Parts: sequence; C-alpha cells; structure tokens
Amino acid sequence: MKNWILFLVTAAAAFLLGLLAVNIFERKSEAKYAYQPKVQLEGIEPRDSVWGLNYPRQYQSYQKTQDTTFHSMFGTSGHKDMLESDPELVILWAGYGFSKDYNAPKGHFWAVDDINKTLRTGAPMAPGEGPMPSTCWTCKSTDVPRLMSEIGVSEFYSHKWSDFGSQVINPIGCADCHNPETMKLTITRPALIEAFEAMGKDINQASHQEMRSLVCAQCHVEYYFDKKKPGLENAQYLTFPWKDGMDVENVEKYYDEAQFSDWTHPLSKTPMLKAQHPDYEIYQMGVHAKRGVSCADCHMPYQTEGGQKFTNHHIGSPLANVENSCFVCHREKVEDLVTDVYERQRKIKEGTTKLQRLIAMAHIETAKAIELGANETQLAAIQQGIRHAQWRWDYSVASHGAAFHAPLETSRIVTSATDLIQETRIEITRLLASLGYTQPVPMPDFSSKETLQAYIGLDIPKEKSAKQTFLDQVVPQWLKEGKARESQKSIKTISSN
Amino acid sequence: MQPQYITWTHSSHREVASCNDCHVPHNNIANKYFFKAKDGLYHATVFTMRAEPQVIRARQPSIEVIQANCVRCHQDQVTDAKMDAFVADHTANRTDRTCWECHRDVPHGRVRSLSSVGAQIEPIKEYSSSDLSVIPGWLKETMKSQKSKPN
Repeated sequence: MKNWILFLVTAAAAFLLGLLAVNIFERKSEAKYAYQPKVQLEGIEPRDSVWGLNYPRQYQSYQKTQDTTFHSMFGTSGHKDMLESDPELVILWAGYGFSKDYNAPKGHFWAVDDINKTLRTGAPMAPGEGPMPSTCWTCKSTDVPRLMSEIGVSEFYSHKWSDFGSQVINPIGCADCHNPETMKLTITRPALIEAFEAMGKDINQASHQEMRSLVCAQCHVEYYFDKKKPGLENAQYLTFPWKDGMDVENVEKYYDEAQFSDWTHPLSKTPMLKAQHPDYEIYQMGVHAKRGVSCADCHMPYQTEGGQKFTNHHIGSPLANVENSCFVCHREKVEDLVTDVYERQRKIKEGTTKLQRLIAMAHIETAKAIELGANETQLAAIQQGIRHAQWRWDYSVASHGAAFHAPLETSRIVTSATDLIQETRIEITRLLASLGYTQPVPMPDFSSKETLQAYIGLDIPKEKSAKQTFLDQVVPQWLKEGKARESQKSIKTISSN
Repeated sequence: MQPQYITWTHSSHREVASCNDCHVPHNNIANKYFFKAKDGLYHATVFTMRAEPQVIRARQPSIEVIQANCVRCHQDQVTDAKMDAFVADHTANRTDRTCWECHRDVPHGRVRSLSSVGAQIEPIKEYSSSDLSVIPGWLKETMKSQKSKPN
C-alpha cells in the first residue's frame, strides 16, 4: 500500500513537471512570434520606408523632418537665403561656390533634394562633369555606406559628384546610424573612425550616451578633402582635422602646417579656409556637453505614444519642442527658456555681423593694394591675417547652433577674429599709404546680394538657367535609374500582423 | 514580462539596478534564496496554468521586499541621520509609506500592459549578435584592406 502511494505521488509529480517543461518550450516558441518584426532587413538597406515597417513610430517621426514651417529668431526649418540676409558673405566667399548660393539648412529629409538644387553643385549634364567631387555625397544619403561597401572607401572618394547621381537617391536615414540587426547605434562613415584613430582614441570604447552624439558627429563637424593622401592622390579623401585638437586655434594650425587651402580669394589673393559646420566640436565646449547631455537628448527627446516610450526622430531645433527637450531638466516657463536662447544668439550675431563686414572690407582693400602694385612680401602678413580672421569667423557662424551650444567659446572666437582683422586692416592702411594711397578705398553696396554678385563677376541668371535644365533633364533620369535598381532588391516579409 | 522588461530598459534604473536588485530581499542570503524559490514556484504555477493577467501587479510579500529595497539604496534621500537622533519614529515615519504611492512612474512607468509593447528588439546580450562593435563589419574590412595596400 505504502509503495503504491509513493508510486502514485511520484507519477503525479513527474506528470506535473513534464507539463511545466512542455509549457515552457511552447511559450518560448510562441514568444518568438509575438514580438517579431515585419520584414527582414538584409545587408545595408538604404530605404527608410522598409525599416519603417518594423519601427513605425520612429519612422513616422523621422518623416516629419520634411516639415518646413518652423521659425525661430534666426533659424528656420524651411528655406532661407543666407546671402540675401547677409550679403557681405558674397564678398567673403568670392571665387568659391558659396558666393553663388547658400541657404539655411533644412531637415534631413531634404538632403539629396537640396544638394541637387544648389547652384554650388553646378549643372553636370553627363557623368564626370561638374565642379564637385563624389566626396560631397558622403553625408547626404543612406546609399553612401551601401556604395562604400560595394566599391571601397577610397574609390568612393575618387569620382565626380555627377558619377553617383543615380546611385544616391535616398536622403539621410535609418541605416546611417543604426545596426540593422540590433538597432544599436553604429558609425558608418570612415572619417570619424579615422579621426579618432588620429587622436589616439578608440571609438569602440564610446558609451551609449556618447554614441548618441557621435552618430551625429559623423557629419556635423568641420572637415576637409585631403588631396595629398599618400597612395590616394586621385581621391578627395574626407578628413577631420582633429589630430592636434578640435578647437579653432589647433585646427587653424593644422591647416597652416598642411599648407591647405580650400580656394584662393580672387580679390585679396589669399589662400582661404572654408569652415564647414563644427557643431560637434563647439557643442563639446559648452556647459551642456560638460553635464553629459548628448545631441539626441535635446534634438531627439523621448516621447510617449500609446504607452510606449520612444525617441522622437523628428530631428530639429529643440525650440520647436521645448516641453519635451528643455523641460526634462529645466522646469521653467517656455518663454523664459526661449528668451535665454535668443539672447545668446542675438549677442553673438551682433559681433559676427560687424566682423563679417570688416573682413569683406579687408578683402577689397587688399585688392586695391594689389592693384597699386603691392608685392608678395608686403602682402604675406596681411593675407595670413585675413585667412585666420575669416576662418575663425566662419568657424563661429557655420555651426548654426554655436551661439547657444557654447556662447562663451563662440564669443571668444569672434573677439579674436575681430582683433586679427582690425590689426590686419591697420597693416593694409599702412601698405596703401606706402603705395601713395591715403583715401578710403571705395566700397560696393553691402546691402544687396545681386550687386555684390555682379561686383565679383558672377552671372547668376546664367547659372540658374543651366541648373534648371539640369533639374529638368538629368535629375529625373537619376531618380528613374535609381528606383529601377532598387526595385531589383526584394523585401523579405516575415510576418503580416 | 515583456512590458516590465521594456519599461525598465527605458528607465534610469537600467543603469544601476537589475530585476533582482529590487524584487528579491537582500537582508540575508537564506531569505534571498527562500523568497526567490517561493516566487519562482508561484510564477511557474501561473505560467503553467496560463493564468497570467493582462496587467501584472505586485502582491503583499513582494511589495514589502520592493519597499525595503528602495530604502536600501535611497536611505540617505529619505531619512536624515540628525533628525533621527531627536525625532521619535523618524525612520518609520519616513519609510512606512510605499515610495511608489507618489513616485508612480518609477521605474516601469504607468502604462505597462501587454498591449503597450510593440516589436522592440530585446537588448539582451544573449539574443543579440555576437559582434557588438560600433563599426559595422564591412567598414572594418574595407578600412583594413585600404591600410594594408602598398602605397
């Protein structure tokens, strides 16, 4: 009897345990289906719309970067002709593409559209034509990592911009920052990795919070195209000048030592530097970076929708979304916070507006001295002064957020540039006097973009009509070829729910 | 427990506390494992019976454990050593109400039913790819082959 009871109890226990085991297996396989994505992302998938099937919230908010209705005191998410609002820029960038056309940046969605439309890229009617190298595409599209992986990095840098028109059709998107398997943040542009190596750092050591800024730093940085890279002389190799430091002086020194110049100014014959947008570098010198705040914390704040917390991918000015961005730390009135930002921007702008006028005048005054027969030795120090002053001015304005990201550093840069250019203008005045010229140098009308563009000898109507032909005939063809190529790639659906 | 997991990975506690830091007692090791076994059997039973509720709520023994664990880490925020010396019942007064009576969103948020979770990649190491490097494989290879190319 006792044995029977023992037997029955054991049998019951074994049965229940078996039931549990089966159940666990069953539920485990069930879980695999309950939370699975809709499509399989294969290889480097440049189309956001495919990623969007798996991550609708992130995708839909990212699509909002096409919004052009936001306006702040100086910025906008829409179209703003910067040459119209600050016409001196035409003189500062004479001889360089930016004097033709320079607009405030729009959202990521417009990256490819805008680079096709700008006068700076010219009107290449056939592959291999046009003023710009293929390197210009690097930061515009998710097709870039795909193309780089197909043909190699240095090959990618060794073409003309017009060569890849049909290859690069998707604007900046998911694949630029995310690993398709794990969704972890990833670096897809070699320049940032190489810059870290040059500084003796390993980017793989970056924490998740640092990555929330570093993915942006793949593009939102100062860079140049290195044409002297040993063994890669045909390439215009995208390089960040960070080897000796990211601040304005060290980068200036780096360029001087490399004897690099973006172009030679036709008025003052100065070998010039064009600062791109040192957003990451300048932000690093501000108080928010010091507190460990990342780009995404303010520009892509967290949001909840239907109980799900996710990162809002509508990347843009935090001023458009103060409640979700600033309020996380600063529980103050919206208008107070916005006023704080505007105050910094207005005060810095006061300095840069004066500074750019002074630099423009220096170019024209130097041109006068050259006209009167000044020689190279007499001009050397003056040109150095103009080069450095304009570089520093550009460094402070080209990063559109500089005045807020690091107001103190930006104002220091503006002060140093103002000092440089005024010292230089004293030298120019001396030089002019020694050449027998003591009158004020006649200046063009600084209030009109068109007058100044004519003054430096640009034929804008001609450029515009060539551009229109290009936009009407070439770009639709590029798009058609690109779409045809993409339609070859199938989308693997895993679940339909 | 997908919603519980996902809400925790999106919270600040993700950096400092894992499930067991809050949900099993830490006053002594025997108690820890006794509670763990008891809780585990209870979970296994519910799981086997397919009796999981849409919204999971903590039961009384669990509430006590969680509260003790809140206090364990946040002792200095909730009690004051000086006050403790001259106010009778200071510690009890400061710790007898559950923390989440006010801090309702900590750390799982308010909405945490099964329906609040979409397809989200589980950031568990066990299930993620073996290559957790920041640089994708193709780029690593391209850059390496470029470097090794004779100039």
